Amino acid sequence: MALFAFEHVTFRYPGAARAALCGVDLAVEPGQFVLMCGPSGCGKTTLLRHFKPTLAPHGAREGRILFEGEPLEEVPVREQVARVGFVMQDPDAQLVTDSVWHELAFVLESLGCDQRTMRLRVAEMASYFGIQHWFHRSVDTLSGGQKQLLNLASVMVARPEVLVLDEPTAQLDPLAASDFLAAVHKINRELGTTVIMSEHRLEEAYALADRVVVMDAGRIVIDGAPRVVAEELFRSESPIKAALPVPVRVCATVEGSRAAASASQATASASPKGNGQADAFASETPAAVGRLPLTVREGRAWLAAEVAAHPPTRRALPDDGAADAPPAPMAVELEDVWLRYERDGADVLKGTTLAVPEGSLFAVVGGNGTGKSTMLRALCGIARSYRGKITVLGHRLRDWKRTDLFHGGVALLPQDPQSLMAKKTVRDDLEEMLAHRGLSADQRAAALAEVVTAAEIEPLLNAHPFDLSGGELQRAALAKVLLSKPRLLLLDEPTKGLDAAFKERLASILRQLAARGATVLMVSHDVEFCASYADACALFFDGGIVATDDPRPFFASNSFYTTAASRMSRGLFDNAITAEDVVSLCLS
Amino acid sequence: MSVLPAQGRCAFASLHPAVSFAFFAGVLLLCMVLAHPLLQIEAFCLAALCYVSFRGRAAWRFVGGLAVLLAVVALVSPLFNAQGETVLFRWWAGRPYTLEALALGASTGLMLAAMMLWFASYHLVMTSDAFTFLFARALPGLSTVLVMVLRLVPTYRRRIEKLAMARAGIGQGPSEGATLAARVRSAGTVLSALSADALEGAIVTADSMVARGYGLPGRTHFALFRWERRDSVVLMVMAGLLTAAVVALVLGDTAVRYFPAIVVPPVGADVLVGAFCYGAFLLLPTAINLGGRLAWRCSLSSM
Repeated sequence: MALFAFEHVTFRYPGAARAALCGVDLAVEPGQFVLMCGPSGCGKTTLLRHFKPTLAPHGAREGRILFEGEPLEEVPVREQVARVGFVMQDPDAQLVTDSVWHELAFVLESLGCDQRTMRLRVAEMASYFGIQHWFHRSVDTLSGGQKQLLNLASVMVARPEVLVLDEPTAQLDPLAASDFLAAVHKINRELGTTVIMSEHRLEEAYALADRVVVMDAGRIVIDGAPRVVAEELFRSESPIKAALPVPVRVCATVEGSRAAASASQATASASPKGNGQADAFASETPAAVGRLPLTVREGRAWLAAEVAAHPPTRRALPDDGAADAPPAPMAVELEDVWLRYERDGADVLKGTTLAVPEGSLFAVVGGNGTGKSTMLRALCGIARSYRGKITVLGHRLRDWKRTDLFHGGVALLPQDPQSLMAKKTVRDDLEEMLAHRGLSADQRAAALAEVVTAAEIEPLLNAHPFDLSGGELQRAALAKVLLSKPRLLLLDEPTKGLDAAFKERLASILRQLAARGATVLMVSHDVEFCASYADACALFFDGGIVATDDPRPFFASNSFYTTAASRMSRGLFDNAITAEDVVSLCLS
Repeated sequence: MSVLPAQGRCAFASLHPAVSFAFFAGVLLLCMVLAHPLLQIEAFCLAALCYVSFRGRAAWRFVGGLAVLLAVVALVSPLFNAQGETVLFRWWAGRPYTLEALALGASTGLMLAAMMLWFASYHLVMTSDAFTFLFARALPGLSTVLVMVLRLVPTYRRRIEKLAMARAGIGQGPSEGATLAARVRSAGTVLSALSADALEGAIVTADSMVARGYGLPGRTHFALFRWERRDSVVLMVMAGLLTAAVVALVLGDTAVRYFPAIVVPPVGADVLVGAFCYGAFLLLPTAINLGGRLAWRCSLSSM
């Protein structure tokens, strides 16, 4: 008997035009790790919330949800609390109490456990998740990753049989996200807890799951083992395929085009039956499905076999050095900049030196807490350096008047785009930027129309900023920032919480800006994004820039801090840093 | 909240919160009631000693500051109080500056300084954990609210900083030379953004609480602290000393009169015994802290 069974569940929010869930049939077996994916707004969250009746949204529902064969609504609340754990997206708002130990004990207190049981369970959980070192800390001293791990632990302490996670890593940086996923995987593998998780960042989660469910417009469109689903996504040209792990993408693309090539050969030479291509693809599929690599390790093995079977004509991409480019004037120059926030505090920037040419898309990568964000703050004068020289757009920073600097000069898009939105609608927020500038109504409308088109947010103008998805919010905030017509745009983690499709749109917007002569300086953890789109990359470590180079030599020379494609093709290909690079070399 | 440097120095802080709370409640009550200069000086010195035993060298600045406060209160008080028959000198428009008022000021200052020192120690020992633990059983609803408030205050403060910084980064922050109206408007925008944000966060928090069974009948409370035999012993010693001190001081005459002339009743045997017990009671945390350090040293040397 399935642990959870959804039978023809249809759900409609009050007053909504279309149903959020349409005839969903889903049976989850005990011990499964189910990964839910789909474009934002496809109904993942709505479906996940139905696993827990106390969280289920209000609206009209048809169909049955069974928990161990019994209708879920009839399971007593106490039992639901203990047996189904739910972790949400926001690491901060989910915490209820002020200290770590209390948070861990919260659910046990609710369930009315006695002192001995609570002590044991809390101790057990803290030890299992490695929380004992910060057991007595106050929650506001924790990092985002620690907070989310605490949220997970404080749900697991009730020993649930089912763990439901709704985009748990959306607000974490990649390192914290992979730690979190490792913890979830450990729970699934070592305790046999059933896991149902929605994610839009599939790179890591995909290989951990043993079942993938793809949703679109409230329906389950594909449901199966990861390799089968990946194959299906490529066959149906789904937009989600861009979010799949690099090895899957490389293998599926290469095998797909080989199959297409051999099929067209077959049609051209042998029979003019017309359905030759489909036949060829179908006959290729079982072999491909079995071999589809999900991890870098499998990817390397596949690539080695592939290179041996079909030796490519080229093994290296040219090292596109920019030696011939004329030296552009610098938009930003930092020379030995030192900065600390408190008089007796530690230095955050320690002699940072950096030069960013005008009109470039410059990426600074590096770990957490190394001072990347502080560097951006120093560049727009929010944080003051105490030594060194900062030149922005041709003038020393201290010679700029504040009003001039932020009007047509510099703009900073913070890590959390929400913090830029302060009004009731996106339109009000955008208009705030144009007020008190002495512009005529026509000029304001024109300026507004320009950024709205650039950021593609026309349909969102009348929405409340809180109702936007991560990607929409990011674009709305970007539009707001662009209204000051910055010549230097500073971005702090612009891809945090964005899915693959949104990342591509963001990149094209940034490209357009750079093409018009603006300089974009972003700090990011997202090496894949930087490798694909940046003009130059720099590695930030311990308060300073360690190395600067074009993305290709930069990532090709790193072997740990680099892209999955580079790690996968190391030793086989040279200078291949994106999935497209590897594919093009394979097919050469 | 607590800034205790090391557990070894603060054996008193490792006692059960009920014991430490009882101690501070007793101390503050007696400090307010007992006005005999001998007892006040005793209380101030021992309060300073107790605070030093918690904080070590870092405490001296605070103690020094309080000594200055004491002097200021004592010296200023005759300016507002012209009673008393011993006129030391006359100042502005012939107002008398009297010895009696000076003495009363010193007494008030001593009490104030002693109370502040005890509160400073209280603050170190009674962390929010300890406090909520104590009152969770008595006031379950209130203690949850308290815990949530304790969490929200730093969250909102950080959130405001973040909002203000985000706005400064796009030139919407209060720039130098901005008018007062512009500053107020800018602060208003930050606050309204914060309230929207807070409401949104509150929905998630509520969901998270319901998902973890808040509101089910029969809620219990996790105890971070355990009652040890040591706690019973300290509590009994405390009760004994306190009772002895109160009985002896009530029997003896400790009522001091300042006006029109200072009358300090003679110190009899009962008052002496009371003062001794009172002192021993006040010395408890210091003794326990020193004992803790000594125990550590002994255990180290026996290794």
